[in-house]
Amino acid sequence: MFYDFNPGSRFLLGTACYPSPELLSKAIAASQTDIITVSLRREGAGGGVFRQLLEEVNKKFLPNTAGCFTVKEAVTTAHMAQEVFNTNWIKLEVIGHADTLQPDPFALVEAARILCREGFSVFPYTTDDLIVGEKLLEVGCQVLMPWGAPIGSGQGLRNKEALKSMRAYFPKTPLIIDAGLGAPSQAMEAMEMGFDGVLLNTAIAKAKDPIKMAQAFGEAIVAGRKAYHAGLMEKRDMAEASTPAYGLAELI
Amino acid sequence: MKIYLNGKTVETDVGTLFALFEECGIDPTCVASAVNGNFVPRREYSTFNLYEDAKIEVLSPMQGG
Repeated sequence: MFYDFNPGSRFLLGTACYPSPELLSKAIAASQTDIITVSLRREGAGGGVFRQLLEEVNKKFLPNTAGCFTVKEAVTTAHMAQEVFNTNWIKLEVIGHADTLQPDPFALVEAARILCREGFSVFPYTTDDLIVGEKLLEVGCQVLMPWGAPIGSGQGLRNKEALKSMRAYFPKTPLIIDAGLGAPSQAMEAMEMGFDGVLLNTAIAKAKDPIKMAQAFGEAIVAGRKAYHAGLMEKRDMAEASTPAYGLAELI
Repeated sequence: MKIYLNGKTVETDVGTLFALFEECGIDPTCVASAVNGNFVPRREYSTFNLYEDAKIEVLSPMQGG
């Protein structure tokens, strides 16, 4: 449950960098996502085509504040997105540095405080820092979105131990891995660890076949969730024979 | 009067944001606007008075991650 929305799919898909609007549209369908991320920019070539696509896909929109470095920029962008996309949802990104695209946690909490107070449903793009997560919940966020790795890097879950701690520390908060995933196996692992969803963009948009990759990620996310519910076995240091020793023949 | 529209210098004689959009052929129903970094709601376009050197951002839905 992400705020008041109970999605059929735990896959949130970004819409940027696809080779064409047709491929984007087909990738959205193949992913079986219910939620797509969008942004606001100065009108450029192809803007009308994208608006039409948004009308046709019939998905829930999660506008982002990508490219914002300050509280004011992020809050203004959220207000603009609310009007254009007619939604209270906002994927709150307040970036700390242009090269790392690492969130600025101090500005993030402040912007989240303002937007939650105004009635936004804030999806904060954050790190795996537990105290930052706590502060975000304190100011009213009901979902946290820790990064797997830096945006667009395709590195996967770079700090699994910290993410495991985060999952354990916030057992009831919906946690979505946002950014940095490059392969379906990485998304599946996140889901196996008990995360509630996965948000990604580049791994699909930049794949040789975005439609097939969208489907692959979609299936991996479903499988990972199923495995989490099924309960993974405990790891052991030593081997343990699975075939029974009882009844073993003496052949020497 | 000189204003900045999405980073470009524009000379205009119109008085309001709404009139500016009309002059520039911008459909006000599918954009969101900010002036000098502050959001201007759509309902205020017709009463928002432009001023010299105002920096206007007019944004549309775009692809995003």
